[in-house]
Amino acid sequence: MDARTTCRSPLWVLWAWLPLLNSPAGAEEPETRGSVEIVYRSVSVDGSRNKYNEDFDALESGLRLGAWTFDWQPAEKGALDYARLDARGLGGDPYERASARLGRKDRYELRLDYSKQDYFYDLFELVNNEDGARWDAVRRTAELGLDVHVSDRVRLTFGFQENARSGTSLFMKDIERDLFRLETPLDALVHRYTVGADFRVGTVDVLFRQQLRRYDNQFDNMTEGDLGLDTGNATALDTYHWSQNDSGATDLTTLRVHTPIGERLELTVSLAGSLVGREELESHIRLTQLGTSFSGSEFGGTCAASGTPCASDATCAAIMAGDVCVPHEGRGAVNLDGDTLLVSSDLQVDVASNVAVVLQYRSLDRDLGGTLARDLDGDGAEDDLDGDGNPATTIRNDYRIRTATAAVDVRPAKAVRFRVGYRRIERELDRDGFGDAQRDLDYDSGDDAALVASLHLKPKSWLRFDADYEDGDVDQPFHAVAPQESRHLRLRLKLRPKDGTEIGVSFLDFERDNAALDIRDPASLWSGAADGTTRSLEWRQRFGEPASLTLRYSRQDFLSDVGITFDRAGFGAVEDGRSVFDNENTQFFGQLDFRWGGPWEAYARYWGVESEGNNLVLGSVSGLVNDETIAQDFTHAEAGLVYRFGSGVYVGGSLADFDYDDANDRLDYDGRILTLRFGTTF
Amino acid sequence: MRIRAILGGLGPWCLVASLAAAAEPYAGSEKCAECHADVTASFGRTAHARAPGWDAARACESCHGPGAAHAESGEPEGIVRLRTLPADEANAICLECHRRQENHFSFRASIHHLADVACISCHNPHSTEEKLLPVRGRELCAGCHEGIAAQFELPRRHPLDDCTECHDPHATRSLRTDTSLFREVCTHCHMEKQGPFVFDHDVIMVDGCVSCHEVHGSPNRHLLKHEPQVNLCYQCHSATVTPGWHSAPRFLNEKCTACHTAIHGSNTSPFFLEE
Repeated sequence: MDARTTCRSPLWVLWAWLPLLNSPAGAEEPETRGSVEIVYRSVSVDGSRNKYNEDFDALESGLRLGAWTFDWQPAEKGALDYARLDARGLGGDPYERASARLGRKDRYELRLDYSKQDYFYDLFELVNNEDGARWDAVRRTAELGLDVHVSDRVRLTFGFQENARSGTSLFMKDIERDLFRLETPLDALVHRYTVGADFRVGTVDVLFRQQLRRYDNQFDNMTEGDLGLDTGNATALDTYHWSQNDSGATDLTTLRVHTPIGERLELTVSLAGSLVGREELESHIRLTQLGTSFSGSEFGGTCAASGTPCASDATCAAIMAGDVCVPHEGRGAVNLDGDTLLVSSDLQVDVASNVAVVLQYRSLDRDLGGTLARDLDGDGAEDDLDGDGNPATTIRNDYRIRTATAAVDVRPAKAVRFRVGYRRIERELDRDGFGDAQRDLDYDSGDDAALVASLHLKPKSWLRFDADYEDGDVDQPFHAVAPQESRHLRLRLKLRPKDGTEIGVSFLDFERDNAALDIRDPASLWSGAADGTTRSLEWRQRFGEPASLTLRYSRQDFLSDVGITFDRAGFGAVEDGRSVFDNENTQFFGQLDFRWGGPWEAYARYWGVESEGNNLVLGSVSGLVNDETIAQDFTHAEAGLVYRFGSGVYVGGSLADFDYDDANDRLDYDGRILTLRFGTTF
Repeated sequence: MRIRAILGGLGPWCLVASLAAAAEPYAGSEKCAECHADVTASFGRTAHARAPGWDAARACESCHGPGAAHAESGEPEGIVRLRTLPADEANAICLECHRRQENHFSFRASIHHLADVACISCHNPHSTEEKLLPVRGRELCAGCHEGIAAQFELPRRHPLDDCTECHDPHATRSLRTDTSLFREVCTHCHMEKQGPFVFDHDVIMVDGCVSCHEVHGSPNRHLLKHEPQVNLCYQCHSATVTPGWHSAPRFLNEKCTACHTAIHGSNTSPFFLEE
C-alpha cells in the first residue's frame, strides 16, 4: 500500500476562511498582496530508483501548487485586520507546507499550520533483494492555535495538534534460525491539546501552559505462507501475526516566572513536568504463530532443542530466547505511569556596566514505574522476565540530572567580549525489572565537570571573530559506560571588507576518548577514541542590485577507532576485534543569481559531495579482515530562467542534473528534473 | 541619554516610563514620513504597527528616539541608528518590550546575546514579513553558521527548511526545549519515539537522540554517526555489557537493529527485540 495515498489532508481548513475577507459594500478596498505559482515537474531517473527515492524522498513528476502567498489588510481596522497565507509544495510533493494567520493583532490571532513529509528507503537492493529493510512512511502534522489578548497584560492561548504517521515497512526477523520478511504498518497517532495564559503582575511576567498528549500506536508484524530466506531448511511460517496496541496520555505543565530585581538582577524560574497529571501507558499484545520448526516438526509438537512437549494449542518457536512453546494466541499487557519535574533557573547579575555573572541551574527528575504481565512463551504461566520468581515484572526506571553553570561575561573594551565558566553535571539512573543484575545496573555519574570559555572580537565594523572552547571529564556518562574525556574547539571568522562582500571561515575540532574493563571478566577490555574536524570557507558577494554569488567549500574529517580484547570465558580463547571508521567528506556549493534590468531573472546552482574513506574491521579468531571502502559522490547542477510580464504574470523553467555514485555500484543513479513554472504576483 | 529617552518613549504596553523621555522633543511620525516615505509607507503593514498598545503617533521614535533635532538638521548623528550601536545597546531597545515574550525571558543570558549578536542581525523592524524576517529558514542562519549549512548538503540530510523548528535562537540553550523532558524537540515530529517505554534505551532518556544521530546531515543512513551501524553501538555496548557472542568478529560488520528492531524503546522486550 502506498503511504502517500492513505492519509486524509486537512488542507481545506486553510482556505475555508477566505470568504470572510470580502469587504462590505461601500467600504474602502482592502490591501491585498500575494502570489500563486503552479509548477509542472518532469523527473527522469536512470539506475537505482530506490536510492533516488531515498535521497529525494520519492519526488515524482506531476503538477503542483509550487507556492501560494496571500497577505490581506483592510483599509480600516475591524474585527479582522490581517490575514496571511503561505503554502508550498501542495499536491503531492514530499514536503508540503501550509500556514494561515488571521486576526486582529491587538485582540486575537488564529493560526493554522499543516505539514507533510515523506520518508523512504529500501535496503533490499544492497543485499540481492533478500536480507534488508524497507520503509515508506508519511508524517502529517496539523495544528490549530488561538491567542486572545484579553488586555495589554493578559493573553490566553489555546492549541490543538494532530500528528499522524502512516505507511508500511518491511524488515527481516530471525525465527527458528531462519529469516522472515515481516510487513509492518506504521500507523501512529498523537493528539496534543494546550491551554495557557501569560500575564503580568507588577514587574513579574508569568507564563502558564497545560498540555495533554494522547497517543495511540498500532504495531502489526505479519507474514503468511513464508518459507523464509533460507529455503534449504525446514523452517516455515504458515501464519505469523504480532499485534500490539500502545496507548496513553501525558500531562505537561509549564510555569515560568520572569522578573527584574532592582536595577542589576534579572531572574527567570521555570517549572515543567507532570505537575497536574501523570504519564500513563497501556500496552496489549496478541501473537498468532503457526508453521514448521527448524527440526521439521510442526509448531505444536515437541521443541527440538529443549525437548519440551508443547500443549495442543501451542507451537514451538525460537522467537523468544531459547527453543520454547508459543501458544497460537499469546497475550501481554503493560501498565506504566510516571512523574517528571524539570526545574530551571537563570539569574543574570550586572556586577558592573561591563561585567555580568550568569548563573544557570537545571534539575530533571523522572520516575517511571509499572508492571508488565504477559504469556507469550506458551508455558501456561505468565513470563518471569526479571527472574525474581514472580510472574509479573515490576518495572522501575528513575533518573535525575543536575546541571549547574556559572559564567562571567566581561567586556573589557567595546570590541572585546569574553566569557569563562564552569559547568558541573550529576546524573543518576536507578532501574529494576530489566533482567539480570547487569541490565539492572544503576549508574551514578559522580563528578562530571567542564570548563567552558568563549571569546568574541569585533575590532572593526567589517571584522568579527568568535571562539568557543569546552573541555570536560565525564566519569561515567550514560552514552559510554566508561570514563570519558571530551574536548571541542570552535573558531569562526567573518569579514566584510566592503559593502556587498562577506567572507566566512569556520573551524571545529573535537576529541573523545574512553575505555572500559569488562565488569564480568577483567581480562576483557574495550577502548574507543573519536576525533574530527570540520572546516568551511564561504564567500558571499553582491554585485549591486542585479547579481549575487555564494561559494562555499567545506571539509569534514572523522576518525573513530574502537578496539575490543575479549576473553571468551569457557571457550579458552582471546579474540581481538578492532573497527576503524575513517571518513572524509569534501563539499562544494555555489549559487549565482542574476537579474537583468528588464524582465529576465536567472540562477545557476551547483553542489557536490565526495565522501570517501574506509572501514577496517579485524577479528582474530576467525581471521576476519574486512576493509570496506567508503565512496559516495553526489553532484547536483541546476539552472533556471524566469521572464516577468508587466502584469505580474511570469513564466520560467529550470533543469537540474544529478549524479550519484557509490562504492556499491548497484546503488548508482543519475537523472534530470525539468521544471516549468507559471505564476503571478498581485 | 537618547537611549534612555527611547526606553521611556516606548508604548504604554511597556513598563518603563522614564521622565527622561520629556527631555528631548519628538518630531512625530508625519514629520519622519516627509523624508523617509519609503519606510513609513510600508510600516503600517508590519507586525510592529499592529502590536497591542502600539503608539502610532510616535511610531519611528519609539525605537529611534526623539527626532526633532534630526528632523531639523537632517544629520544622521541626530538620531539613534540601531545598526551603529553595540549589540548590547541595540538589543536593550528591543528587549524593553520583547523580553516579556515567553521565549525572550532569558535572552540576556542567551547564547546569541552573550555572543554579541544583535536582534537586528536577523530581524528587520521595518519588514512586513512575518516575524520581521526578510530572510527566512536555513538561509538566514547559514549567514553565520556556514559549517552547519554545509552539513545539510551531505548525502543524508534532515529534511527541514527552518532551523527554528528545533532551535530557539532566543533561549539560553540552543534547542527549543530541554532535550530530556519527554524528548519533545525531536518527538514533535517523531512522536512514536516519545514513549514512555517500559524498557527505555538509557542513552536516549538522558543524552537524547543526538547520541546516535547527526541531526543536520551525515554521510550515513538514518543520519547515524557511524556506519556500519555496529561501530556506533560498540561505542557503548562493548565487551562490558554485551553477551559473549556479540563480541565475536562475525558481528563486527552487522546491523544490530536487524534483530533489535525497537532500539528506541520497547514495551515488550528489555533487549528491544520487539516493539
